[in-house]
This record gives sequence, C-alpha cells and structure tokens, in this order.
Amino acid sequence: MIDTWQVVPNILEKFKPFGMTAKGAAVSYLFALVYIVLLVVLGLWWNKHLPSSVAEDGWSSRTIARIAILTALSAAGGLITLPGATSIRFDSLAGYFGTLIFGWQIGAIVAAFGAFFSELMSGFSGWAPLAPYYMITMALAVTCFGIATKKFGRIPGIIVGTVVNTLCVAPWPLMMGWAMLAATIVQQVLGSYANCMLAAFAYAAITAAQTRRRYEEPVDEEELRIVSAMLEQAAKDNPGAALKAQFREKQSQKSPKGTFMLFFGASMVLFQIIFIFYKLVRTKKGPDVAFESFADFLTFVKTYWVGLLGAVLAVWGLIRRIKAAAKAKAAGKEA
Amino acid sequence: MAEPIIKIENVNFVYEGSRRRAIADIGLDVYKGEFLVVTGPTGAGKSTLCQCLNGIIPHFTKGVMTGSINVVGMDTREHPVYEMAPHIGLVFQDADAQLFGMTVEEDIVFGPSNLGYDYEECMRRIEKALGDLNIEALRERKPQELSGGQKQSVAIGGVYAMLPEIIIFDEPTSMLDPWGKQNVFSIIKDINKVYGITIVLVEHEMNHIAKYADRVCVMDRGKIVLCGTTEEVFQQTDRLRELGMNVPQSIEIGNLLKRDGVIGRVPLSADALIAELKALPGLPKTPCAADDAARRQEAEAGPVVEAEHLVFSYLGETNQLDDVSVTFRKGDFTAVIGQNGAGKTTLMRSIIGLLKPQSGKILVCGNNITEKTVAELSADIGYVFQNPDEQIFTDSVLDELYFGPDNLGRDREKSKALVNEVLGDVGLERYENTWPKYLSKGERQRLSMGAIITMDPEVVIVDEPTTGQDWRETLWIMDLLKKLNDRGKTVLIITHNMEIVCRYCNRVVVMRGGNILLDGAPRDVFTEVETLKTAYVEPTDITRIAQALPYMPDNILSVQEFYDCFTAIRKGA
Amino acid sequence: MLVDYRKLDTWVHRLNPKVSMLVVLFVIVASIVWTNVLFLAALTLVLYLVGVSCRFPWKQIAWFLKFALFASILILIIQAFTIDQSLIETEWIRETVLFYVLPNHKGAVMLGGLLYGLAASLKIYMVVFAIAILGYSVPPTEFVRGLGKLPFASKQLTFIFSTAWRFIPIIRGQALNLMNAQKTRGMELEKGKLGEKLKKMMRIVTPLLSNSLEIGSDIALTMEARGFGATKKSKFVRPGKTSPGAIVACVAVLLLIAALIYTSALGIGVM
Repeated sequence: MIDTWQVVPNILEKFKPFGMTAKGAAVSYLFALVYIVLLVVLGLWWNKHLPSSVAEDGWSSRTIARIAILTALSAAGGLITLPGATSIRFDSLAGYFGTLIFGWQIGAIVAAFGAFFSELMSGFSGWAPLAPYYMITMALAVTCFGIATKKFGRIPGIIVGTVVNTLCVAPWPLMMGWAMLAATIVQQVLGSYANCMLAAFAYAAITAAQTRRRYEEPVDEEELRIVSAMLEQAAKDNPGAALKAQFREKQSQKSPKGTFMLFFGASMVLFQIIFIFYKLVRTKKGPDVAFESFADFLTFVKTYWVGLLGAVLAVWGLIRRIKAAAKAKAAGKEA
Repeated sequence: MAEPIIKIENVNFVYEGSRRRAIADIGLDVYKGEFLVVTGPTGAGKSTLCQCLNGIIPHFTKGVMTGSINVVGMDTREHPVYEMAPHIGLVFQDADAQLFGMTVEEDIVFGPSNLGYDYEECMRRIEKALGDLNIEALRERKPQELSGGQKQSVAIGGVYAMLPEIIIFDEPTSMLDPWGKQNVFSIIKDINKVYGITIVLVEHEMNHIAKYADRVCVMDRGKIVLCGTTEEVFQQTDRLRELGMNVPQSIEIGNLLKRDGVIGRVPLSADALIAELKALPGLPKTPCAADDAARRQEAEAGPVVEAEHLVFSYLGETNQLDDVSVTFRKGDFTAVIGQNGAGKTTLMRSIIGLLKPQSGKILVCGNNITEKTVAELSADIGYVFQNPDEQIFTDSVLDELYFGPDNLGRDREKSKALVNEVLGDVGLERYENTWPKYLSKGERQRLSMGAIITMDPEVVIVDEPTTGQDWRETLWIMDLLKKLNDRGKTVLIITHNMEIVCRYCNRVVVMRGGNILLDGAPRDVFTEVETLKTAYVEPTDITRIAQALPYMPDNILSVQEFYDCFTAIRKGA
Repeated sequence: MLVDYRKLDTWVHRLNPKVSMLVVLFVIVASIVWTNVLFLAALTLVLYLVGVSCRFPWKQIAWFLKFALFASILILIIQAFTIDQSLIETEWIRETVLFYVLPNHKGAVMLGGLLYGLAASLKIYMVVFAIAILGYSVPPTEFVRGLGKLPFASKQLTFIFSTAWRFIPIIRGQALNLMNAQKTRGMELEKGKLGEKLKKMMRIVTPLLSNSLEIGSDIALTMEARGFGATKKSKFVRPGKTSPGAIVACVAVLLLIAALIYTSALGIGVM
C-alpha cells in the first residue's frame, strides 16, 4: 500500500530530466483524471435533482444542433474581445449559458469543445499539449457553475464558476514557477468573471423575456371549442407516445449508477496494472500469486487492494447495467 | 383519375401553448408532377402546412394534429421524419442554416449518407445533383464563400441528392436579391419540368413563378381560401388585395384589359402580354404620363449629406467606392439601387462612419464626420440594418424604442411623447411589453425602424427594408418611411424592389462598380434602358411592358398610369 | 485556425495529411521533452523556413506574434529572477549571474533563468508555427474526415465538429453586426470602466445567444428533413489510399518521435 502511494511522485520524478514543462503537463493530466471523476459525480447528482434537455429530448437532432451552434458561438467568442480590454475574450460564455439553459451534459460538451476550438483559433497559444486539460477543466467549471447557480443563485454561481475556471492556469506555476501565476492570475480571473457574469445575466434576461408573451387576438367561442376538443382527444390518444417511449427506453437502459461503478472500477484496475508494470520494469519482478498460506493471500490482497476493489466495482456496475437493460426491454414489450 | 401523391384530409394543428389552430380544416390533393404554389400573408399557416407534409409536425414540433396526411402512401403520423425524407424533401428559407458541410460536396452528401447509402451510391447522387442543378463549379467551394442564391442552390442540391419524389420549398427566395431569386426559380422550374419532381412552393413573389405554376392555393388565417389555376386565382384582384397580397403587374393590367375586352386570356408573364399587345394596331405616342416636377421641387432644398471624391477598398481588393461624389438634400426620398457589389452598402456605411474611406470627405448636416464617432453621428443620421435580429437589444418593445434616446442622454420624460407617437406609427401599441423575439419578422423590422426614428435624426438610411416581407408588411414599412419623409426627414433606402421605388421615391441613384451611373427622378432614370442594363437593373414589369410597345410612352411607372394612358390612346385611335 | 487553408502547389501542401499531422506531433513532443535553447531555436528556425518555402502569410499572424512577444518578455523577466536552479543540469549555466538590479548584489538576473524563459517561449512559438502551417497546408475537410475514421468517433461527433467550424464565421459576423448596430444607436462601446463595458456587452451577448438558439432550431429542422437519425453509422466512407511513400514517411516520423524521447531521457536536448 505504501508502494502504491509512492507511484505518483516516482512517476513525476521520471519527468524531471525533461524539465518543468513535462512535469507540469504530467501533473495536469493527473488533475484532469480527478476532474473527470468529479464531473461524473456532479453530473449524476444533476440528473437526479435538476432538469436537463437531454433527459427530455435524448441525443436527438435538436440536442446535437444545440451543441454544434453553441460550440461555434464559443469558438467565435474567443475571437471577440471586450472593446478596450483586449485580454478579455468570450470563449467560455456559451458553455456557461448552455449549462444553465439546457443542463450539464450540453454545457459540459460545449465548454470542452469550445475550449478546443478557442485554442485552435488562437493557434494553440496556450500550448497544445495542455488542450485536453483545458477542455476537461472547462467542462468541470461550467457544471460547478450550473449547480451553484441553480441551487444558490447567480452570485454564488459566478463566484464558483470563476474560481473553478481559474484552475485552467494550474499547470503554469508548475511549469514556470509561482511568479508566472502571479503575473497571469488577474487577467484569468477577470476573463472568467466576465464570462460567468454575462452568461448568468443573459440567461436570467432571456428566461424573464420569454414570459413576456405576445398579445393574442381574442379567440372566438367556436374556435376555442374546437381546440379544446382536439386537446382532449390528443390526451386520450397520443400518436407520438410510441416514439417518446422508445427514447425513454433507451435512456433507462443506461443505468447511471451502474455506468459510474463500471467506469470507476475500470479506472482503479487500470491504475493497478500501471503500478504492476512499473514495479516490473523497476525491480524485474512480477506479482506473486502463489499462495502458500492464508497470510500470503492476505498480503496479496493488501498489496493489490486497489485493483481488486476496482474489479469488484466494475463487475457489479456491469451487472447493474445488464439488469437495467433487461428490465427496460421487458417494460417496453409490455407497453 | 390518377391517385394523388399527397392527400391531405381535414388537417388541423394547434401549437403547444396556443389557443388557436395554426392550420384549420385543410383538405388538398397534390398530383404527381404537379407544380403547386401556396401563397398568402404572413401568419397564414403556410410554413406549418409545409412541416406537416414531411412529418416534422407532429414528430418534431410540439402540438396537436388531427386529420391525416398521406404522402406516397405513407401516413406522416406513423412514420418518423427520417423515413419520410427519401420521399419528400423540404428546403427552408434560411440558406445558411441548411448548409452543414465544409464544402459544397460534403454538404450535398449529408442527406444520402444519413439514409445509409454506401460510397458509390452517394457519389452517384452527388454527381447527379451537381449536374442537374448546374452547380458543378461550386463543388469544392466553402459554403460561406457563396452568394445567397448559390447557397440556396446548394441547399436544394442537398435535398435533391436524396432523390425524393416531392420537394417542398418554404419561401426559398425571400432573403435573396433578384439575381439569386432568378437562379433559384430557374432550378425549381427545371426540377419540375425536366426531372418530373412534384413541387410545392410557398412564395410571395408571383412575378417569376406564375407562368410555371399548375395551381395556386391562397391561405389566410390557417385556411385555404382560394384554389385554382393561376389565371383563376389572380382574376380575383380585389380579394387578393383584401388578403394583403400583391398581384404581379402584368397580370393586374392583363385583368383590366381582359375586362375591357382588349384581350381574351390573361397572359401569365410580362413577355406574353407584350406579345399580345404588340399585335394590336399601332398608335402615335401620347405623352400622358404625369410629370413629377412638383415632387422634384420639394426636394430642391439644402444639402444634408455631402460626399466628395470618396475612395474605399477592402484590403487590397478593387475599389468598392471609386471617386464617388453625391449630395443628398433635405426632404429627399432616395433609392440607391444596383447589383450586389456595386458599392451601395459601402457608400451608406461610409456616410454613417462605420467604414473609413481611404480618401474623400463626408459632411453630415455641415459637419465633417471624421470629427465624430459613429455613436455621436447617430444623433444626426440613423441607419437601419437589413436583419432586424442584429439590431434588437432589449427585452421589450418599449425599452427598444427608448434605447437610442437613452444612449444619447435624452431625458425619458422628454422622449416619451415621441416614443408613444412612434409606437403608434409602427403599429405595435398592443405589444409594448412583448419580447421582440415573439414578433413576426415584419413587426421586428418596423420596431428596428421605430427605434431609429425615436432618436429623431435628420437622415434615416434603411438597408433593404422590405426583404423577406409580404406585401402588406412592405406597404406598411414604406408608408412609415413616407410619413417620416413628409415630416421633412431625408430618407435613403437601398433596395432591389423597383415597384416600391416607383411608388415612393422622388430620386433614384444607380450604382455600378463603385461609381454612380445615373442620378435623377425615377421617371427619368428608368427610361435609360441601355445604361440600366449595364448595371444589371431591370425596371418594373409595367415599365418594361410600356417600353416594349411602340405606341406607349417609355416612362410609365404604375399599372394605373399604363391603363389610363392605354385607354386614352385607344379612344384617340 | 490562425490562418485559413489556401490551396497551393507547394511541397508542404503535397504532403500526405497524416504525415503532416505526425510531424506536428513530433514538434509537440519536442516542445515537451527539450529544454535546451539551441535545440528549440533550431527547430523553430526550421519551421520558419518551412513556412517561407510554402508561402505562409506571416503578416496574417502579426497580431499573434505581437501578443506572443509581450508574453515572452514577461516570461523571460519572471524566470530570470525566480528560476528554480535545480532544474538546470549544466553547472556553468546554472551558476552564472548576468547582473544585479539592486545594490549590494541583490536582485540577481540569472543566465539559467533567462535561457529557461527563452526556451519556454520558443516551445510555444514552435507549436503555434507548426499548427498554423498545418492549418494552412491541409484542407479542414481532411481533419473532419480523419476524425470520422477514429473508432470512438460517432456520426454525431463528426457532425458537431464540422457544423461548429462552418458556423464560426457566421456567428462572428453577427456579433460584429450587433456591435456596429449598437454604435448607430448612440452606444459608445469603448468608453467607460470595466463594469460599464460589461453592462454594454450584455446588450450584445443576449441577442447573440438568443439568435444562436434560433439558428440551432433551424439546423435541427434541417437535420430532421435530411434524414439524420435514419442510421447509426454512416456507410459513406471515402476510400483512403495512402501511398507507400506516405506510409514510409509516417513510420519514419514515428521512429523519430521514439528516438526523440529516448535521446532526451539520455540528456540530449536538455539544458
């Protein structure tokens, strides 16, 4: 177990001859893995407690179109600057807005793709190897922002979004020293704040404006009667229900908890495999699986508990998914 | 009798949240190979009907639909849109939103690849679409490099490549200039006449398309109110006017001449009418067209905009403005016309300060504009852009009207009277607290004009005020500008609609290649036929008909003038 | 991309896109593993010469170079004063003090720090140059096609990328039109403090967002009308024939990358 905890510093030590940039990049990728886990956890919480358009429409053409256009907006936003303050760009605005209006799935994807496109448009001026890190950080930032805004209000949301967004600069002090962070942090915070603030207020403005309905000409009695009859009949016999049921069936087959357990467990197994391989290269010695006594077995479990636990979680998650899919299929057949 | 390819039976549709049917009791059969035109004022339910035909309603758009629609034997309620797509295609109004590919070829293959065809089949369809629609030259081009007409042609190609039996066009030319419209209409005509595809076309402008349509259906308030051949429908001129529709000038004059017994049938195109009238006995020219010296006199006031020797070019390209000098006087109602790329918008944007010419001088109300920012100039000169959605900033109609005066630092109490007056003029009193997005396109255009008028500038420039509008909205917008002009404001419009130029403007400036070619009263300008041809400008149909007839004066501007003149000549003869 | 693709007949444009992308990967890996200024400068110079040979429009990225120059100066100054000396393996570089900015031998400007800062700047320049030349010489459709061929890439993912790329200039144009329209309504966007400017930006951002949502609806309608969703996986796969020369070039570049990592682990290219 002690060996396992040493793996991360030992791996990072290997990057030292390549310089701080390599070390910084490596640490960033490790952070990114943690962010992904956090994102999945927050996302699952969102699915349970907050509405999202993906839950309603699924991955329909409407959803795909929304992601595409908001990603374009994010990329274009990277080319638009605040007049007179050219360091502030509006590249993450679309991601924040997308989260509030459509939910965390669309927001996170838009934030990630938007960060990539924004880097692409600027010629990867933030250093290309860090692009995946920026993408994942932005996805996490918009999700945190969305949860904070929906649960606690605009101001807490803006604060959370700004702080998490600022994690984008995390690799730079690792690569360049803390003085570099001091030189860039103000600009980063201002830019993050501007994007969060505009997205939050724009969302509030648009949702409030949507309540300003158009004045409708008075409808005559006959027309009202016909329309009421249509609506009543539709409630009894909805021809679109079958198609909607197919969507719901596809969604329920996925079993979010099972998916998370499968993913998390697989990550743990992968981590263990990397450790075993590292030890093999270092000591030229593979894992000892010949148990002569129960004590040997216990030692084995103690040494490789990460991988074993991961394998159990992964199998459990897989069983949950299979069970959920079978259940949904049976429900669909009954319907 | 052949079975209809589209059978619509008693269809009604209510949008989610609405209390009124968008389409009501629609019953219509469309036959294979037919060219059906559906027309009507904005809000009549034409687009709703189109979306019902390919299944977008009810599968994609939320609402309640009753009745049945059968397309090539498939009930649209039981088949999702992607199952209908191989049989019935839909081309929308906005060409940009229909182009997904990074090249034209990539875009055209989108439909067939969605339908699961393999590489060879997809390529065969691409070749067919590019060839049949005559757009092979655009194959490797990026969509954003194309003109409006080219984009719409590619969008049609994308639908055509799915080889459907029916194609629906929902106002495909409303956002295009005349050349784009001609191009698209030519493609649509060929698709029907040459390749036998059934066409359902929703369109306002009947001038170019009337002669190809087999049938015309007019909708109003969700119902089909008129249906028949083009001649049958357009005979009912008064009814059509009541519905807020414009009758093509050639058909309108044809109706009048048929009523008087001069001709037997109403020709459906200007050229056909010219041929008929040329056959009548020749008569001497009689100058009975009104002289608009009176209108010209009003316009002979002091200068309000003076542009001298303007030269402008974008980053090393050819000059958009090539030593242009022009003066606009107080009270002018001027139309600036010309082909795309002639320099009209460049000239107007230079006048308001958005573009900085490389050389030349511009004075607005006597002040050199280089001394002021665009925002400062806005107090004297207002500019209404073509797309109303790119100039609406607030969340209510009233706030939008106050936006400009507030920015200029004017007291709200003092602006109140003008804002309320303008609110009435633009006809949006009932919508003062409505979110502008909920207004129709015509209403939004009126709102953006109103928002400039409340700033009370001396000069108002409007870039293509009537593009995409139906006739009722077009007249409303132009009447609004006329009212402004009557109050002494100078109005400059960029337009391609010659009918409204003749109706409203007292001056026309024709541009070509960054130069001013002609400048004068409409009656004088539209007689310079050969010069206008070089600028790719065509006068109105009625003017063209008069100019083609040896016994008619060549400065006729309206149907009434033509009729009065023609009647006088006949009586004289 | 910094610079749009232009169809030309240069040796760079004629390279197989896969080879070009692998060369960029080589540059990216070099930017990670090398810290020696001479190596980095040499590679940057090579990239510049490659750009010149393929008629790359350096003037179009002048704005970026100005910004990058400012960032480089900042990095140089900071690193000169604050570099962690243990990072530099070469002793004489590590120990050399160039000058002191304060009296009594305080505020030392270290040679190692300057060189380290210069190296850091060059890393950014060379990656930017490499990617800019890639974007200039390879049509964007190749990237999207390449994306479509990846095993994990769904039809939706490819669609999102190509559509987003396609709509970037349209959205940007809308934003510029909104800003121009604001000016004609008497709003001075450049004037005022940061808070006031952000308030003014709200007037642009809100209509831009609502217009984008409308465009999204139109796109969705068109997707439906063109049969999107009829099949899960597209059968339209362009036959990609890679010439033997290109395969050899790809293998050679991959071997170079491996050699790069190996030699840098041995200390070559490390300061």
